[in-house]
Amino acid sequence: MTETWSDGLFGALTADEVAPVPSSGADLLAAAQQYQRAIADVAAAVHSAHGQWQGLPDVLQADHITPALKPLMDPADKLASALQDSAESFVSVASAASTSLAQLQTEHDTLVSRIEQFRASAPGKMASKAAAEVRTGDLLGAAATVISSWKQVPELVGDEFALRTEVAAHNLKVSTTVSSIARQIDQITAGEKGTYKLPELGSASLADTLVDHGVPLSAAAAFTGQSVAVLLAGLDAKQVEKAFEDPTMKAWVAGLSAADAAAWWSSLDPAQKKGIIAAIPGVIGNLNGIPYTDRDAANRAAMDDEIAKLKAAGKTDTDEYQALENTKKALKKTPDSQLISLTLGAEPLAAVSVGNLDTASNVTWMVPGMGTSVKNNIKGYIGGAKNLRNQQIADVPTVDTAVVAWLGYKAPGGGDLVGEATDGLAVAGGNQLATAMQDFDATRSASGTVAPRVSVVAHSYGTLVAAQALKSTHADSVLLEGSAGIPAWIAPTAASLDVPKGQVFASQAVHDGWAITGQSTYLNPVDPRIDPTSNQFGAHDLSAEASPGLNAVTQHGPLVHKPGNTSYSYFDANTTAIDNAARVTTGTGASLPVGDTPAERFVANPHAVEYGAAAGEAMHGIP
Amino acid sequence: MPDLWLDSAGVSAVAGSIDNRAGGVVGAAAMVTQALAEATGAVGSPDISGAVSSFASRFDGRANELITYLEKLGAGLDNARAALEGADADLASLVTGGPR
Repeated sequence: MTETWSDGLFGALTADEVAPVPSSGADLLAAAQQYQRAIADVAAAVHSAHGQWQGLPDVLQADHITPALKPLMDPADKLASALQDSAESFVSVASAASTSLAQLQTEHDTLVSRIEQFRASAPGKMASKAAAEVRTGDLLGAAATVISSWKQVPELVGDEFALRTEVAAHNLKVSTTVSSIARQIDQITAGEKGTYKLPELGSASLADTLVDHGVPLSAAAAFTGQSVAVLLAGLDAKQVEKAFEDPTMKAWVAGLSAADAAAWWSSLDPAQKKGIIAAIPGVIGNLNGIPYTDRDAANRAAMDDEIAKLKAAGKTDTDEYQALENTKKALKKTPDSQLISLTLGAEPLAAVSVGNLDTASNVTWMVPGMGTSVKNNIKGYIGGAKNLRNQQIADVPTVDTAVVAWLGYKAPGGGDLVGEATDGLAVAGGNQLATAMQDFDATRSASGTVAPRVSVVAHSYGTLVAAQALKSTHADSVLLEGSAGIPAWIAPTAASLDVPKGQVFASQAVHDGWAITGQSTYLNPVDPRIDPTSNQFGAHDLSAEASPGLNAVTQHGPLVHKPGNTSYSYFDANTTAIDNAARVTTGTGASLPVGDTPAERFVANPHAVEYGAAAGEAMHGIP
Repeated sequence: MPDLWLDSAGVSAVAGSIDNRAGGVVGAAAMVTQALAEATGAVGSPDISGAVSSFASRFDGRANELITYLEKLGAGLDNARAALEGADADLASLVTGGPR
C-alpha cells in the first residue's frame, strides 16, 4: 500500500488495510487433536512399560534390590502423563484459538464488505476520484472535484473516519489475538517441570541407591552403564565395605592393569582407600599401579590378619607363622621400610623396600642366593638393604634411594645341593624377579613420577636369578657377587643381559669358598656355568678385598659380621664390597678400578687354599 | 551377599518388554512430531507457527529423553541379570526355582 499526503484524510481507505486473519484456526485444532491421539499412544506404551516393571518382584528378588529398582519406572510414567496433559492443553488452546480466529475472520469479512460499499457510494466515488487526481499530481483537479461536490464532504469525512476507527480496532484485535495464542502455546509445558524429572541412570547417586539396597556393585555398574571404578569412587567408606562383600569385586580389582589401577586408586579418598585395604588387603598389597605406600599398608594388614588366623588356629609353630612374625618384627625396627609384596603360604615370599619406592630416584633390587627364606633371613636382608642404602647416601649424599630386599622367589634350601647345582629354581625366580621389576616400572610409570635409575645386586645363586631376569628386563647396572656361576645357556656373556655396556659388574672375594664351589658343582657338564669375573664373561671385575678404611670379604656370606668378630661379607657395612656396590648402583661404577680377577685371586690365594680358608664357614651364614 | 532369587528368563522378558515399549514410544512420538509439523505448516501466522515449532522442539527433547530412559531401563535390567548371575555361583541352581 503506497502512502501519499492525502491518505488518511479522505477517499484512500481500501480493503487492503484490514489486517488478514490467519485462516487456520480449524487446521490448528485438527493438528492439536491429531497430536492428542498420537500422545495417547506414547502414554499407552509408557504406562504398559510401567505395568511390566511392576512385575519385577515376580522374577527378581535380591534382598532389597527390587525395592531399589521398582521406583525407577515411576518418573517415566509421570512424564508420559505430563505429555498427555500437554496434549489436552494444546487442544484447549487450539480450540479457543479456532473460535477466536473464526470470529475475527467474520469481522474482517464484514469490514471489507463495508469498505467496498462505501467506495461505491457517491461520497466514496468523489473521494476516489479526488484521490486518483492527487496521485497523478493534479492538485487543482482534485480541489475542483471536492469543491464541486462540497455538500458530500461532511458525509465523506464522517463515514470514512468511522470505518477507519473500526479497521484500526480490528487490526489491533487480530494482532493481540495472534500474540495471545502464540503465548498460550508457549506456556504449554512438554513435561519440562515437575516431579517427573527422569533420574540420570548413569549417575553415581543411582549407584549409591543400588548399593545401599544390597545390589552388588558389578550389577549396579552393569545396570547404570558406568564402570565399577567410577561407581566405587562415588561411594563412602561404609558403602565400599559393603560393595566388597561381592566376591566378584576382588577379581575385578585383581584384574586391573597398572594404569587402570593407578587411575582408579587416585580417584578415591583416604577413607575409601582404607575401606578397600581392609576389605581385600592381599589384593591391594600386590596390585601394580597402587602406590607402594598403600601396598605396604595393605600387606601389613594381610600379614596381621594371617598371624591372627594362625594364632587362633594354634599354628604358631609353623614356618609360615614364624616367617610372618619375623617379618613383622624386622619391619618394626626399620621405620623407613615398605612391605611391597607378600605372598602367603607355608613358605611366604616377601619384598621389603628400605626407602620410599614411590619417590626414589635410585632403586636397587637386592637378590639373595641359596638357603635364603623369609623365615630365616628377612631380618638379615633388610639389614643388608640398610647397609647398602646407607653407603649409597654416604657416597652420594643427594641421592634419593631405595633398596629392595627381594625375597620373592623360592631359593634352593641350605642343604639342597641338587637344587643349587641345577637351574630350575633360578629360572623360575628370575622370571618372578623380571615380573616384579616390570611391575615396578609400570607402577612408577602410572604414577607419573620420573623413572628412577634401577640396579640389581645379586649374591651367589641369586646371580643366576638376576641373569635370567635381565635377559628380558632392563637394568641400568648390575653387580654379580660371589656368583655360583652363570649357566651359559642363560647368559654366556655380559652383553647378553639387558644392561648398558660397561654396567655389568662382578666381584668374588679371594676368601669366598662357596662361589667357586657353586661354579664347579654344576650338574650340566655340556653347558657349564661361567664365572662372571672371567674374561670370557666380560664383566667389569671389582675388588672385594680390603681398601683404606674398609674391610675385605672374608666369607661367602652375604652377611656375617657381628660386633666383636672380624668376619665380613658382601653386604656387611664398612667393606670394600658394599662401597663398590653403592658406587655401581649410584652410577659411578665404571670409574672403579678393576680388581679380584681370577688371575689375581689365583696369585693371592689359589682356589684350593681359598676353599680351605672358607671351609669353616657355615653356608650363607646370615646372622 | 544378598539373598538372591532370579527367574532369569522372566527378567529377560521384562527387559525385552520394556525395550519393546520404548520402540512403541518411538513410533508414537514420530506421529506426534508429524502432527506438530503439520500444525506448524497449517498456521498462517509466523507468531503462532513459531510457538508451535518451539513446542514441537521441546516435545521432541522430552520424548527422546523418555525413549532413552526406557531403553536404558530395559538394557540395564538385562545387564543386571547377567551380572547377578555371575556374582553368585549358587544362583544357577536358583534361577529355575521360585520366590522364597
